[in-house]
Amino acid sequence: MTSNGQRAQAYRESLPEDCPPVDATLTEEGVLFYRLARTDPPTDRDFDSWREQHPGKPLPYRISECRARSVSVFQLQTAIDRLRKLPRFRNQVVCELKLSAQSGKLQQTGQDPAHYSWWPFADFNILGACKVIS
Amino acid sequence: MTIMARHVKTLDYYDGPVLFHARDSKGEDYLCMAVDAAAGDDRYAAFPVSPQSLCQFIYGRMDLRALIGERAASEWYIGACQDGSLTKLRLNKQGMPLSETDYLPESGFFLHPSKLVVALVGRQNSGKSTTWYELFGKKQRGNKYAHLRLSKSECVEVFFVNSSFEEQAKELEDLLDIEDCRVLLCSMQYSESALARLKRLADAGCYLHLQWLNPGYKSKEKASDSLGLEAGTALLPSEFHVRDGKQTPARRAQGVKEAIYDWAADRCLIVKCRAAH
Repeated sequence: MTSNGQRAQAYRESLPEDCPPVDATLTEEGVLFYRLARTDPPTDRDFDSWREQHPGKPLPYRISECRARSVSVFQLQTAIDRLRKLPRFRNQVVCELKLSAQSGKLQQTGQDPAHYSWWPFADFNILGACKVIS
Repeated sequence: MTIMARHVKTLDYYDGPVLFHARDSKGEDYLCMAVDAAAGDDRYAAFPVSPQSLCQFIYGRMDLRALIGERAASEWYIGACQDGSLTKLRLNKQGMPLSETDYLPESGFFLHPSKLVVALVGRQNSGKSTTWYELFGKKQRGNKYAHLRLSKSECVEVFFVNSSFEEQAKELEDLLDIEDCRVLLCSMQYSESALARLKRLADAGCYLHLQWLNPGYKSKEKASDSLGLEAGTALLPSEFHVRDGKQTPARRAQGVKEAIYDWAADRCLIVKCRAAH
């Protein structure tokens, strides 16, 4: 329980202390974000964090363990379409994610203002909220 | 041939660094691009680049393919981390022409094609023009390029629109089409059209630094946000500040200056001030 009596939400991946950061926020009902997936339909693996994909590996330079356990999403479709011009993402599909306050916490991170780090809640049905659009 | 290099700056991030600037012990610069992973270790294609071209890429004037195309025909590398953290990158020179691999990006990849829009929002006589006056240190005519001094010797080129769009029946998007307009300073009425206009700007790739002058200089009291501007812009790539229009404009101007500095410094937009500024 938190200090104000509310039950603390569990996250999809185990997180270090003070993670997500205090300025990470919940989003409003029905806000759209975008992410790439390897397959259509997407699978749970498409929503693994860097840490889940690199167990036991040293963190990339200047990336915190907290951020390494987040999932990258974009607020604008144009931002994710841009990424598909890179060889690594060329064959991936774009998922539209309809998020709400039950989805998890988000924080804008990195130099691209449309990029967000997302820490999904454990009981959020990611695949149910995800629609492949291109 | 093998070269050791280290990460200098991440330029694009998606579940980890996707593009970053690296430098070897001789001071040569490389653009590194994540291509695949082998046994859980990310691998990077690395391309030697000139500092000038790298800056053009960061500035948004050159696309990735043009950047790496400069020298990659004869020289490119595959890199892997020695310790996983990008501080020790081992770059191995490749013999196969890059064009015969799958590692060439498509044309048209620009680094976050964003522009910074700094908007002072308020009703009439709220202190918007006074803030601009304080920022520039002199009365500045609108709808023109200006060099804004950020420190004793550092300036940035901005496009300045003094009167608000409602007053001049002009759309901000028209101005964003102006070539090289990377930092736009404008005034905006606190009106029902403001949020829709800001959303269109965000969709066009702009980052919004907003200062709502509340209470305004001539307002009797602080107003409630009846239009939901703060909540509405929280969903956009933006930051929203409420500033007291009755107080000295120096603090408001300083806030604008700091926001521009941070944004411009990351994008190679800061230049030496000319003597006249």
